[in-house]
Amino acid sequence: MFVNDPELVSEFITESSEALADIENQLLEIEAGGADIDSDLVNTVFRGIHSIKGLAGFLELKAINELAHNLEDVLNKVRNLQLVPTSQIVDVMLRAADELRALSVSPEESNAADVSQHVTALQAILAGDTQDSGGVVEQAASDSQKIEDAIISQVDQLSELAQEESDSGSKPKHLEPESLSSSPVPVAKPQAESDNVAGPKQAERSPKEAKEKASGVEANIRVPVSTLDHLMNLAGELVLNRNRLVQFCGSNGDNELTTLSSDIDQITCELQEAIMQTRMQPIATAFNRFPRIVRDLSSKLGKQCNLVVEGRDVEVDKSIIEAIGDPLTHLIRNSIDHGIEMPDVRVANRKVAAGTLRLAAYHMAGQVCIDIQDDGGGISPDKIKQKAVDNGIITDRQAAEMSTREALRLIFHAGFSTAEKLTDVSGRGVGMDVVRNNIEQIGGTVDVESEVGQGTTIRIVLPLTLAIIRSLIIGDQDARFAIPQVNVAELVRVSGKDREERIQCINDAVVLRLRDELIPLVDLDQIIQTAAPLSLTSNAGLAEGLACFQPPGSESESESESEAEAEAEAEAGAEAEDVLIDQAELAVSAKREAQGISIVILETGRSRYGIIVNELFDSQEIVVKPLGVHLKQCKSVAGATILGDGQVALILDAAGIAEEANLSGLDEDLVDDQIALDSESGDEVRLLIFRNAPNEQFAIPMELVSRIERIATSAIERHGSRSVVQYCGRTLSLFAVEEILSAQPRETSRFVSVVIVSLGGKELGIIAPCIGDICDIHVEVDTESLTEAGVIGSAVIQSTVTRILDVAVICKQGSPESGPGGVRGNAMANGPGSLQEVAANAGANLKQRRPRVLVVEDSKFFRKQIVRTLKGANYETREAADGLEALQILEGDAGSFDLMLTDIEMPNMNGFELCQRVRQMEQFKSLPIVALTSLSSEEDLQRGRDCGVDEYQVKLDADALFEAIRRLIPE
Amino acid sequence: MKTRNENEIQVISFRVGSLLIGLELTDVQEINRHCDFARVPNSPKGVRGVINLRGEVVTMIDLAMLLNQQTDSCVNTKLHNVFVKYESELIGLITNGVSDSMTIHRDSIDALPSNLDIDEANFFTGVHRLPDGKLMVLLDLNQLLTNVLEIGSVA
Repeated sequence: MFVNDPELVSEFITESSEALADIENQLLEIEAGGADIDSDLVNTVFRGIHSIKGLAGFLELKAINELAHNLEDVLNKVRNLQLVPTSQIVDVMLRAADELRALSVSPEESNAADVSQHVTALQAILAGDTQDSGGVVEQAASDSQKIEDAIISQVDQLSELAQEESDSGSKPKHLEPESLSSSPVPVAKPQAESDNVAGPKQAERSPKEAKEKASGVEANIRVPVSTLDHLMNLAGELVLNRNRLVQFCGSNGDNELTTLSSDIDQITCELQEAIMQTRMQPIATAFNRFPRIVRDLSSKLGKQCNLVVEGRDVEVDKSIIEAIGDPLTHLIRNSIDHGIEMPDVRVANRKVAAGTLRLAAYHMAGQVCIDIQDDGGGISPDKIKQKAVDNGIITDRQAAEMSTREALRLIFHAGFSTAEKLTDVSGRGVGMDVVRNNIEQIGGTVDVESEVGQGTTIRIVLPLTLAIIRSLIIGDQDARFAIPQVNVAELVRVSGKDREERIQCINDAVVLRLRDELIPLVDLDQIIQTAAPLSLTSNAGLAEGLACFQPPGSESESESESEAEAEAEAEAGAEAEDVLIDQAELAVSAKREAQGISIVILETGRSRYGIIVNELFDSQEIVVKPLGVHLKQCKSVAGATILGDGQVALILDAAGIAEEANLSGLDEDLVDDQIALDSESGDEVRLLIFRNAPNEQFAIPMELVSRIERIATSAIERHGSRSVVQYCGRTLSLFAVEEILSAQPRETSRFVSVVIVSLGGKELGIIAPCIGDICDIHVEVDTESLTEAGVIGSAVIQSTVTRILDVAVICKQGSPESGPGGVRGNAMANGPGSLQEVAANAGANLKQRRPRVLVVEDSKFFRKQIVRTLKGANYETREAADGLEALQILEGDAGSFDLMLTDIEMPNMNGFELCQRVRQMEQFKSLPIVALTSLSSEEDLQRGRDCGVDEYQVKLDADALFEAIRRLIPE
Repeated sequence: MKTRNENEIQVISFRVGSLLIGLELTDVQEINRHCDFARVPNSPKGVRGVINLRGEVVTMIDLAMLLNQQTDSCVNTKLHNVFVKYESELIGLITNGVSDSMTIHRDSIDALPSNLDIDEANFFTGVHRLPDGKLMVLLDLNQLLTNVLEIGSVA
């Protein structure tokens, strides 16, 4: 049976035509050599035929396979000096090669072809039957006569054709390519003619075959990549010139010229896209070899493994496809060898005997992700740490302080092999560090996630193309730089007044306090200063660099920025004075000071650090240009690009800068100590604080916040009573605090900050005119004093009474179309204490016995909230701070719970594991489990379901929670 | 067209600080006056930066710096960039102005004076006396550019 995969088939055609391209000359050369065998040459031919045989065998192309096989055998004999290639033998081989070529052009029909004649001839040679080959020669002679005839008739036809062409008045130039493109016909035709001897059936097919061959040549042209690169370059230039043209026309206003330029504009865009497209190939080209590898390898190891491939159609640059083949193969071998367990082990662990290996490619934020996910035994962080300590990669102390994630990343460390014993499958001295290096070389990153007993996911993030990458453009004085987006983790702006608090020095190292992490900082000025010995600017050190920042340049972007700057200035101006700088500079510095500092947090596989930049521009697609040979030594730059205005911007190499700044030592020791000092956090809740009016402070639980955006007030549209804003191509509902609560209206300003919260996969924005801090606090929430819908309660934070917003209620108010829940949400908004009311109603619906609910939640804040609402609704509750505690309670108090509510992210034992353990206990097989989460990806949800979660609920959405509880607790 | 004598070479002359330097015309690809160099962090001594030459990013070599000449090339309005090929790569030399192009006889090229700094002497092949009595040193392009590379790899 013929495998009907067009992708594979076209690859087969390409590969076989490559192998056969020069076979005539090669065979003829072999013939000329006679007994003096050029073994290199014979080997080349042999390998070509061998690979055709292999491919044909794989695709079940029997005729091609058989023919190639026999041809290979003959070549093998020649190679081993068992056969002297006489001209008769070469003759037979030539004809066999011709047939092979004809067949491999249209493999779909090749199985119907009769190759017996060639096979017999080849086998006769193998048998050393020279007598018979005489017959073959005769045959060959008569064939060649026929070929001659055929060519003559073809030429006649062609000249007739040519006559017609010139008669019909077309340009004579046109004739040449026409007749050239037909030239394959005479080659194929004689083949068909000689087949004619074999059988009439063959003759019927042959003209078609010949035609297809001709068309096959026309449909695909192999073009050197350098030509495409050149085209790409030219297109890039065209874009620049188009930009200038459009600008010029815009200022001159000539109508016709403007039309013309916009046409050129459009054509240029399309041209660039088309050229980009020429370099793109579906990733299936790289994936196609894996089913076979997985099959062979798993059977070799006695394992069972199913390969699931997703996203074959994702297109990436050809050079990337070439580059990822080997790393992917290695990762897949690794997954099967070390990841997937033996079938009996799997069964013993309550898994299906056959493991699943998922290979998925998908687009994410302008990049391509490839996941290699297995459901095997997972990687034990402790084992990794132990091994790393044994191998001297880390110290005991480091191991003790290392997080799980960091520990897992150790597998990418050089000289690290996780296999308990070296196997011939993946323990071949090619470690994961080579994989990482290969991937980083093409501008990608690789990361690992794993859970013991659950499996491992390796995620590779790759740029779409090597030639064009998405980059963040940053500015420094007069120069601009591009940072590949793949390295950018986040952007942080430290306002003037927070500077001293958030940017600190440990010895000589400058660090930024970001949430509970300390991140080493590098000043871009300093990186560049060392580079420009001739520069006239002073060689400002980091301390000075921090103190005086250049005002934004004169670019158009800075207009809106300086507007925003002015606001911040007014607010922070007072604080700026206590900075130690020269009196003379004070006035200027105070102004600069107030603007705050922009920091780009960069992440490479090995390090995480921040770069202080003066200006941030937008993120754009840039065309990567190589740097000259004289600049190969510069580790901190990876290349250059040309921006829209013709200026050159250098592309910063995140790993190189880290290396130059010698950052790797810094973040390990010093920073870890500092973190250890800082993180005595236990039972805290993290809140985002903001003010609406000067004396009214609000807070949102950070767990629900996904992003904070700054938007222009003019971009806010009002539809009826609702405010929306266009955001990332979607419509985002916006709420002002005063619209929901009794609060003073915010002051009007041109820009507002919007806190984007995500709740159960939905996003909404809360306008927060003045964002304060994010703080971890022990809060005693007072739910009595300030009660209204949309507020969980109040607390004193930073000596100000702060109302903590109930995002779930706000969310419902904003979307009345979202069903009954929304209606109730509106009803709730009408009266104070309605949350409890609804809860009580829900409770009243239940029968007399008070149902018992086990609440597992690590945050005391949330736990108290949930318990309070449950109690209010007549439920009996018990609390547990993590999975382990919950298990203990369950074991000691078996059978008495009607439902378990659990968080997912918890210390000691997380929700997934808890559910699994609970489900393994006989008496809790049917205990309803509701998971509370802010994770909302389908993957997470599915994972929970697999672990035994009955239902998912969003934290703090009381109504939906009660609905679920009522549904799940049997009456 | 006048057929060129085997013994004659065509050179262009340009100033770098106080030096008058000659470069064989066949080495020169292009001359322009761009001056918006983008600096390159950690580049070797003598590399001033890169510029955009019709879509190609070209490395710019600061001759004044390499030859220890005092110059205020940043503000010099007479600045000229001379572009040359080095191992099939285009490279720009920053000069303080191209002054002339002339044909000189090989015989009129004298050896370098022995009191020239040994480092600098490496970059030149000889001296030519102009009719007005000025001296013009002839640049050894390959030696110069290879030297910049070597400085880079040491640094």
